[in-house]
Amino acid sequence: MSDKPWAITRRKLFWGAGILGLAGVTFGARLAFSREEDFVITMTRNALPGAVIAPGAIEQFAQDYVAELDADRHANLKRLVQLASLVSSDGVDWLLQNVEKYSNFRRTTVTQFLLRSSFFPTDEGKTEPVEYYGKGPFACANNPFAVFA
Amino acid sequence: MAVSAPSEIGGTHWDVVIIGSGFGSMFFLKNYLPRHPDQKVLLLEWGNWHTRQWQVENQKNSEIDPKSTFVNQGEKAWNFNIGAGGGTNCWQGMALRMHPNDFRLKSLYGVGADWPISYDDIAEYYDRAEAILGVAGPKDMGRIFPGAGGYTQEAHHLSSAERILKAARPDTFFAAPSAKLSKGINGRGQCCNNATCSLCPTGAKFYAVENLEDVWNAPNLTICYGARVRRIEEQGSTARAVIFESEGKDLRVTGDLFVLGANGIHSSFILLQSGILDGKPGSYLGEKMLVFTEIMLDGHDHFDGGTATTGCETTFIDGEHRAKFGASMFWTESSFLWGGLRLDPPHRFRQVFPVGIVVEDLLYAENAVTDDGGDYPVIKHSGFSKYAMDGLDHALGKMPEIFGSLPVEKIEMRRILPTTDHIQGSLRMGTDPETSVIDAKHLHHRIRNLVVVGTSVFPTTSWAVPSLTCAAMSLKLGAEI
Repeated sequence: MSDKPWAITRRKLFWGAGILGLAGVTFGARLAFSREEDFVITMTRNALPGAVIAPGAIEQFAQDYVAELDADRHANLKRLVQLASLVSSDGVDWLLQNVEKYSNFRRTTVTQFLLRSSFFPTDEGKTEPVEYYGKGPFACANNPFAVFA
Repeated sequence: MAVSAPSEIGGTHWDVVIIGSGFGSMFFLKNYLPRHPDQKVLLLEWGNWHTRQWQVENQKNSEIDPKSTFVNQGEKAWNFNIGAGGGTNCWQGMALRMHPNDFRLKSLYGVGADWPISYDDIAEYYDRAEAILGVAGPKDMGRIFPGAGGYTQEAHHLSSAERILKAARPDTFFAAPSAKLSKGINGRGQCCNNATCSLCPTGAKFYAVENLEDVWNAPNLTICYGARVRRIEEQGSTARAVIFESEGKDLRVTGDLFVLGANGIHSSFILLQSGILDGKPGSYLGEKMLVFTEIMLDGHDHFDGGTATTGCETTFIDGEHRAKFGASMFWTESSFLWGGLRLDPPHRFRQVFPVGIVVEDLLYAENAVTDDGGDYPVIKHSGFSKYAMDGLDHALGKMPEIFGSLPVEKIEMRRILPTTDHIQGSLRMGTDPETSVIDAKHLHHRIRNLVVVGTSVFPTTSWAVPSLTCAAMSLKLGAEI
């Protein structure tokens, strides 16, 4: 055994490379199996604590929403998914909560779920579970609060 | 509508040749065509005819991506629409007049430039433009803009928060005039506050392709789509012909009067490529700034207004401050599509009040559309100036005072938008042929049968959306030339 505890030995190199490799494989595997839809699901659920949402409602929304994202927002979502591979979707949601660009993405995304579902008509899921209405276009239902002249 | 293929019109002669079909051209034709029924008028449009329904279904205004038509070497973005109706398709419908002092910036405040026309010169055409556009607005708008307020449509419903503002600031806060109907009429729908105004689902917003049928169908107008104008030929001091490109071929038409009404980037590029360099075409390109802010409300729900942009606060649109920094105006929004509903803390979804701040900028000669010999214009622009940035700082600093009657929890500045979609300058009107391209009558200083219309002729940006003023100026020109 070396009398210098921090000296680099072949054994340490072997273990270091192994750990790095394992981390890389783990990261790669998580990235490979990460789905953009899953990130949207987690982000949306976290934003609506206490809401009773029908099974599959957010999942179907996420699938539709990701499919219709424009190129710029899709690229942003991919970057978020990459980050989530390292720190989990919950971790991203927590880490970036005060970052304007993420905050805007989160608010505008969750808002789409709120508008495309029975969230408001059911008083945030209090009267019955929130159902997803389905994919747009909702030509004139973007603002359910509007009052007209 | 008389439509001719490019190959059919090559080599023909016309009394009037119009280039582009946006606000400038269409409102010019609105008055010009009935006055000259015996003249043959040709309209050359680079893009194609797309109905509003086509635009909504395809979620775009044109098949031509504007970014593909210029090279941007500058610090800011630009946006416009190429196609029948031009900017009348993609605009948001906001229809405030300019302030009388906007036309006298240099003489009053020592900055920018004076316009060679005044508010009074176009006042009656503001009235007519508002009627044609179907502007919904408040009756008390004349407190700020002389003669305004005679709108044919009732103002859109203000949200409860905006009603608080109106009660607190009756002389400066108003329902925002907009060319989006508050009541449907003649098959044109009512605004549904969808906030996707560039792709209006009901037709409430004014679209030239839908609402200027009399112009498109005028018996003496022929329209040619897919015709990209490349050059104007002159001989002596007279414009003789237009060279346009279609499907890889150059075609030529001759005419007696030429009306250049493409956007500020492409109109100036046409003159640059034509070698018509009087008054430095391309220079003084710019636009005002648009900034997205949000007021977080404490216990008050918002978004119960009747259209996307419901109110306007006008305290700082004019004043001595313009000697130092840009005028500003606050749009209050009843739409949450910019920033989304509020998520934090939970269950306070509607307790947010979006505010758009527009800030005037100055136009500088070095910010320009240039010709590097290629097929497309090259834009060199250094971004918003200190004049605009200081104007923004001033406006942000005044928000607690302006919005103090609301239950304000906090005010958050979100972002400066990359463009307001309003290209201004590049072919400015003025009295000095050295620094301007056209005179007060829109005539080129030297080539007297060449007219320029559109927002490219604006000598300053002001703080106002330019579309209504552009329409009024073109109506006047069409009534007089």
